[in-house]
Amino acid sequence: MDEIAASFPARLHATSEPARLVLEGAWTAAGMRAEVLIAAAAQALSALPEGPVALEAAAQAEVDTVGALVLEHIAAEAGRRGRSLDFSGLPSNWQATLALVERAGEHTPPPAPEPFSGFAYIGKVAVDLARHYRDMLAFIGEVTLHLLPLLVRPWRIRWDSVIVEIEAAGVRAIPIVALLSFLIGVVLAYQAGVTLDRFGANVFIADMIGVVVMREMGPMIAAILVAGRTGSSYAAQLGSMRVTQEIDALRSLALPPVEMLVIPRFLALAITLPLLTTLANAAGVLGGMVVATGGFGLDWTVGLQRLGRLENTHYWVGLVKTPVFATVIALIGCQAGMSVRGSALEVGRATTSSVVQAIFWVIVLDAIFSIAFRRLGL
Amino acid sequence: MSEVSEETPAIEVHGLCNRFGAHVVHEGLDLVVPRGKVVSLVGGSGSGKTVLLNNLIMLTRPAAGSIRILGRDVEALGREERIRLQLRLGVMFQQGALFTSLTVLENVMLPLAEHTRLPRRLREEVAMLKIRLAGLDAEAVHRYPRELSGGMTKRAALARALALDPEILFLDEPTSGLDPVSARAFDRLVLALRDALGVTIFQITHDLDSIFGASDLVVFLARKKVLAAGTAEELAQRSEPELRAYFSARAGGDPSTPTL
Ligand SMILES: Nc1ncnc2c1ncn2[C@@H]1O[C@H](COP(=O)(O)OP(=O)(O)OP(=O)(O)O)[C@@H](O)[C@H]1O
Ligand SMILES: [Mg+2]
Repeated sequence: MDEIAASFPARLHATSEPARLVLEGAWTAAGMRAEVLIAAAAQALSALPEGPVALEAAAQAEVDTVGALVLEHIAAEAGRRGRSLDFSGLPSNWQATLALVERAGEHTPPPAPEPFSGFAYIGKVAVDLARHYRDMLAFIGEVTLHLLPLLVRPWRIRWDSVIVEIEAAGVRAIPIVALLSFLIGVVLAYQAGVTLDRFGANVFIADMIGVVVMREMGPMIAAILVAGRTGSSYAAQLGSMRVTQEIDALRSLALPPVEMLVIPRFLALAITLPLLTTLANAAGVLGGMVVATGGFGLDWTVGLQRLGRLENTHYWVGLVKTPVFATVIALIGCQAGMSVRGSALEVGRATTSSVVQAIFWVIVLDAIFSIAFRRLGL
Repeated sequence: MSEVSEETPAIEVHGLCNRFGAHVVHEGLDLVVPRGKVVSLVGGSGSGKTVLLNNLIMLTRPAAGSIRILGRDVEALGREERIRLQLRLGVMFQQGALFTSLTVLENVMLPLAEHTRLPRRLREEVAMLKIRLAGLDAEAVHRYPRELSGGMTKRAALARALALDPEILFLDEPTSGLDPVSARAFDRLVLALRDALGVTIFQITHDLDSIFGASDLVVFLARKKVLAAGTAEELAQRSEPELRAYFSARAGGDPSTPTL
């Protein structure tokens, strides 16, 4: 039909003796310039003498529902000009198609619901934001309620899921965390080295790398990578499970989704992130040492001695933050996933927003920790 | 329809083979679907109906065999020709497969916007017409797919499949999940489309009322091929064990053929 449509677009012409409109070509969705046809019909009608006008179809002409709809428009146009069209001369398949279209009734869609505008929009955004934080609080409450009894009876935790998640979030992240931390160590050592070298204080490169990496950079790099890698995948996994109603299915089987899905992921991150942070610390310090010894003439043994003399507090101050980061990342990712309602687009939106929020809160909390530890004199 | 199209069948399949690893689904399957008929593909679960449908709508390629749709060999088509052929087919997927980020109306308008030159107002009217034809209430048109019931989803999916006035309409279990009244209304709609628009309808169905009441030809899939093809009454008389088992299920059910 489409080849025919391409070579015979819908046309019409009028004859005055007898008064009729002849329809030619493909009156089908593919071959139709509807506005042109309606205008042409109106023009042809005004040239015809008074009285009813017969419609006829040429031998090769075709019609589908779109063509029939356009004919209805032509009839309405004729009605507005006080003319009447006679459809009875059309072939039976045209009649049947017209009847089908007519039987379907009103063709104009009802008005779409009004989108929010102006002030209403600002209000909606505010309400949405408030609702989001309320949902987040409710979610934290729900997780806590499920977690507390499990802490008393740890054997009821789904350890097999926890282990699967540890492998995905931890083991597979080892190469990227190690590589990036190493590179950050390299960069820090270079910047520090250039300055310290001027004062002949090369030995302090090791101290500085050790303190900065263990207190700040190691925990941050690990947390940001995990937020991007794992937090987003939690949001996407749980979001798709909402779309496919898997979460509803769990509920209906009296298997609380929080206990089945959220708590194992949360525990896995709480176990994984401190370990990944330790790895990041080691890789970062190694990167720094490589630069310090290779680029600024620091002796390996001296460097290691300096590092060995650092207080353990630096390591613990860095590490103590990580379970908090893990909690924030896991809860934000899972909550974003669970809040998905229905559409594939929303899964994408939830994934993006989980990463942005998680990184935002990791950095905010890190700043708060820094200030708090200073005040405590740690 | 022109003379040529009356002669070439809507679908011709010859020597079709499909396998997944060592699991052979079809072997030497032959099938001819005449134009302007309602054809029901039936067979037990796992007999390969959906796999065959996916071959016919050019989503997957068979391991061997030839498929001609509307007289065109699908293997020999260039990209452009293939797209043009696809536009002449309408597909309603088993789960609806509506675009979740679009409303029902937008779902139906999407193919019209992409493949016709109709102005927006007329596109809306055409979409609305298809939605009405599919039997969906006007108030549902601005809803998103997640806000629809199972039956409404089927109708919305049918409306989208009808959007471009296809010459062949493929339906995967259109009446499953519908209440009996809606299911019979769906059958009537299918017959009306056939009569008014000359559409060829190729449906997978397990609904015996549709098979007996609203099918011109029933194709029975078993033993990796088309075991039998004919009217439902003819098939019910056959002696092959698969056919007897399938149609004897009806003896226990409602024996009356619905009058349309
Ligand atoms: N992608 C795939 N990979 C492996 N096997 C497949 C795949 N798709 C289908 N199959 C197998 O092919 C066979 C036919 O499947 P198909 O989905 O066509 O069944 P069906 O006839 O549509 O059944 P139902 O009536 O239950 O929908 C089944 O045994 C199925 O397991
Ligand atoms: Mg199937």
